[in-house]
Amino acid sequence: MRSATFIVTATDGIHARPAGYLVKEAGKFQADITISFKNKTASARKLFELMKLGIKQGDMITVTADGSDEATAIETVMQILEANF
Amino acid sequence: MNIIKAVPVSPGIGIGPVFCYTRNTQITPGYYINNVEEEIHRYLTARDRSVKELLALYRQVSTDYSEKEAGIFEANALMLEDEDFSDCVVQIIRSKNVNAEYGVQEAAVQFSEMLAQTGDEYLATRAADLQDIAGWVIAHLSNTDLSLLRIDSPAILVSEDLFPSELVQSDRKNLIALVTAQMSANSHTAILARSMNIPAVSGIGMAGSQIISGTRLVVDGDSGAIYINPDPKTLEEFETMAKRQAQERTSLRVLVGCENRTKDGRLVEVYANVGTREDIESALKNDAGGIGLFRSEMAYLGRTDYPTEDELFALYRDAARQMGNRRIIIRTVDIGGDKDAPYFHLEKENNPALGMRGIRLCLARPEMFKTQLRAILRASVFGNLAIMFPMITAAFELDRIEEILRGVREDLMARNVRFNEDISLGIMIETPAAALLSDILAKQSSFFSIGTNDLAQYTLAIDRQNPSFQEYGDVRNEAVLRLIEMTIRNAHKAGIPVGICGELGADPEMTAPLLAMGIDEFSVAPASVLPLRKRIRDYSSPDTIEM
Repeated sequence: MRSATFIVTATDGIHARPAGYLVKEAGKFQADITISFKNKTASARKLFELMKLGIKQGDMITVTADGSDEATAIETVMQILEANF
Repeated sequence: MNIIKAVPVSPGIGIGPVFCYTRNTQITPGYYINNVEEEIHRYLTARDRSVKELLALYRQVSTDYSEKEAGIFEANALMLEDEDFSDCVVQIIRSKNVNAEYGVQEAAVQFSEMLAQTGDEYLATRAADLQDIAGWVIAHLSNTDLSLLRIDSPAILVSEDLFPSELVQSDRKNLIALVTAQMSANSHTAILARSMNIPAVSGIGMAGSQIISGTRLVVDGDSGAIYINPDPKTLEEFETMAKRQAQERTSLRVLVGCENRTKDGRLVEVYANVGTREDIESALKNDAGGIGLFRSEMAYLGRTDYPTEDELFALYRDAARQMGNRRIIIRTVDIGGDKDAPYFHLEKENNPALGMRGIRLCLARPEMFKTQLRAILRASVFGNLAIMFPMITAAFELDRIEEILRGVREDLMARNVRFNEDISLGIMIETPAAALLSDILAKQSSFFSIGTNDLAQYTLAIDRQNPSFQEYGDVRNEAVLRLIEMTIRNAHKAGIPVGICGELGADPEMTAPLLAMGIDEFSVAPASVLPLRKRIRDYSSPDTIEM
């Protein structure tokens, strides 16, 4: 299991479209991917859970992945949300 | 004749009879069922069919219009496929022994409420999407026809609101214009209407009730006006205008992709002036070769505090990506004078146009200036960016800018951030001082851009804001033209290009004189790009240049 904490710079945060894209991409990994923000955690495979986190541009979030392809999974999520730093 | 003033949503003129559309919103009947497993199976089948159709719609709209606008249908499909949503439907069917239609409706309501509770305005509007997808599944369950919006002959559609799916599935040929009681210009339906070239107005509210099917309407998507039962004179006026617009559109559209080459073979650039994301889209649609003036102060107006470096970075990066290889000249923040933001707490001045504005403000607030420069430099690796400084009057200002930029570059290098180290730096020539010193300033700039509105104001000693001196403030005044001519000559002597980004650049009568003076680039409103290209292509230089 590994995790990364970063700041979201995608303009729309995790709103409907980016969330949809995230769900689609997350489904391609064997690893379980979760996203935590402000003491709440959501599975990256669940659109509404993700949207409910209300993540916006500039928010600091933590991505955790657990599985054989966890490293690439985290990298992909960071790319989608255009992680900065 | 009755005139309603509504909100313009998509430009163009539509004339024709009304077709009133009311969505079939009958309440889904709920009833008890005996076989729960069979009911769940019924739901899953209808859901899968709906997902498949939404994805087909996504592909169709992607090919016909654009991937970006089609995205809403893919997002809707993903919502339907969401595990939590399906679990909720199944759980309602199972625990209440009710039919699938009722389960879907109930789940959609629950999820809408949940999104509304987040307090996030954008998420709350997703409730409409939930309604849309629930309706989709329910139609399959109850075997009702989904494409309810069927227009058999050309008409203006009048409705309470319209789902994006309803719009793209309607017959485009028969859709003259769109009038809705409620629809924001930013909604997906509005964006689609614009890319489908359907004139649209919205916000007619209760006035809509006086419009019944068959009524003749004129819809002006540019002003937002609706004429109910127009009189012959109005009708004729708009028919002529519609015909002219259609002709202009087709005759100008053929210029998309053409070079801005004069008859004698000289190539010039035609760029666009932009302030917002929508402007950039419009610039691309009109085939602007770049952005000659990115009004960066727009991001500072209409808010309560300075934008952060990350916000500005995201804005510039997105613009850079949108424009690809095409150049974007970002003018650093030009607040002061006629543009004010309360949180700047600018001191009251008797002559704001002659006081704290443009580069003076940037230099007086180095932290704000540095934040913007860092954001631009960081975004510079995503496209073809250049920086331009406003209201320059003397060389010492350029020295100070260079000093600040040096610090910003060192900052970024210390942070290990990549940026374009050779980013092009230019200045606005909008004060008589800058024009008169253009030979000296050219040594420290890689390009000039002439701002004719301010140049005229300062040269002619005329307040731009005061309408009573219009006759003294002609931008085409000989004094202004001489300064422009001088600037171009000095720039070319130093080997740097000159653009023009003021009103004068779009003035049809000034295209020839400016080309004769040797201007290298025009930057005009997106809608003026193609008309200007046409004038450039019609131009050939006279043997003698008359000034």
